Amino acid sequence: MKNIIQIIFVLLLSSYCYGQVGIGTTIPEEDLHVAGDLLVNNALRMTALPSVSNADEDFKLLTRNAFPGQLGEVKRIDVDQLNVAPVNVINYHITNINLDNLADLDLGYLSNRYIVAVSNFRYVGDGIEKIYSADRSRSTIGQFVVRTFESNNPDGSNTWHLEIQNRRLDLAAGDSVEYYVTLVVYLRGFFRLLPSITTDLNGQLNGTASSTPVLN
Amino acid sequence: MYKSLLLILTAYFFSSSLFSQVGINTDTPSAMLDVVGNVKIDESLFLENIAENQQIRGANLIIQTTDNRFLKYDTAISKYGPINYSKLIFEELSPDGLIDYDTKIDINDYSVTIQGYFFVINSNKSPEVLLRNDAERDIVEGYQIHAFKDLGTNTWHLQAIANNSRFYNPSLNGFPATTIDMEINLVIFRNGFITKPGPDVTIDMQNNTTNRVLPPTGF
Repeated sequence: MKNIIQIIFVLLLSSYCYGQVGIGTTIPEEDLHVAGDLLVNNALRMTALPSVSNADEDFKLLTRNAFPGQLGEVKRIDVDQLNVAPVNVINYHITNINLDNLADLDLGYLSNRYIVAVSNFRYVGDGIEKIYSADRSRSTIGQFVVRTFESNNPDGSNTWHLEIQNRRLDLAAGDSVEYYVTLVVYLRGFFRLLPSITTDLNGQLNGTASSTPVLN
Repeated sequence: MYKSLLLILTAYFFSSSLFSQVGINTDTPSAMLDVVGNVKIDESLFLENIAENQQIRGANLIIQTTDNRFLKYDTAISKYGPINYSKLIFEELSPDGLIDYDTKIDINDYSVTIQGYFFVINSNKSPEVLLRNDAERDIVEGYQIHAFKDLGTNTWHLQAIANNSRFYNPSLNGFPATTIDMEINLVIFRNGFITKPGPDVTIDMQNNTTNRVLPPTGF
């Protein structure tokens, strides 16, 4: 009798099990097998978590839900099931441009949600005459610009825009060009938008950044 | 007395609420539940109160394999990283540039982008290369330095040319055509992990210099 009470006491105070333990199952397949959900209130530590090997492929990234109602649920990301992935690689082909001047194309990606970068630029079409059209005596190659930038729109939104053009020179009338770019659209939350860094080089050739981004 | 004890015991085994530490394969548990071994969860795992990581370095992503194992993602060991970078170094390219180069990178598994390049004269490594359309010297030609899909080989190919142009060496008499060395910065995204290739978009500017378009569905 005393023994039983002692055993119960030990069981209640601290439990040790050797062998496999099943919760919701009588045939555990691992040292602990939970046939259902597992909720951890505080930390989950995996001290000997094995590493991915060179043979593993097509694995998925795990994320933790922050939505109320599903708070804390660990889920894998399958980008094939999503409209928007953390990184989206999208080819753009731009036609019927006014001469070479794609001065400001609003791409519609909200800058509080995305970071948009440009790559794989192709210029397909006629070349631009070096002579400055307003003063045919001066020869210049002008300034060719390929960039994305954030800009405020009349409706109050702030989105990513694209500029591709020779700012100084224009295609001759009747000539034409089409542009191809691959935009890399990064989802903020996975990728951080750092503040701009302005450095005054005071006319020097070399310089040092005025501040360093904090990237611990 | 026995009966009620048995009842308590039975109740204890059917639905357990423990207010002490539990060890599985250990008698010195170091947490409320300490499993020395593997854990299998048939349904969801909820982490209600996960801590924020204050440091980027020294942390691994956690991934789930196709057979449902959790692993740490060590990109020094794995077959690929989420985003990969390689510098391609081309020596003694033709004066016409690089017309078609097969990277042998699969088009379904990866998205490939060129995000930087430069070129020098092959013989003396001088950056003073003359790149021009020899028939129309008053023309500034555009470049096409990009990665593209080849549906014949199912691999990514590269092209690095200036339209209608060749590379010349302005330091030599007669400005002869010259072979060049080129470096290309290649950023290679693994599809299906965090990267998804989007649908191709064509924008008709209708002869305007500005325009406003909607992003693809879902953005």
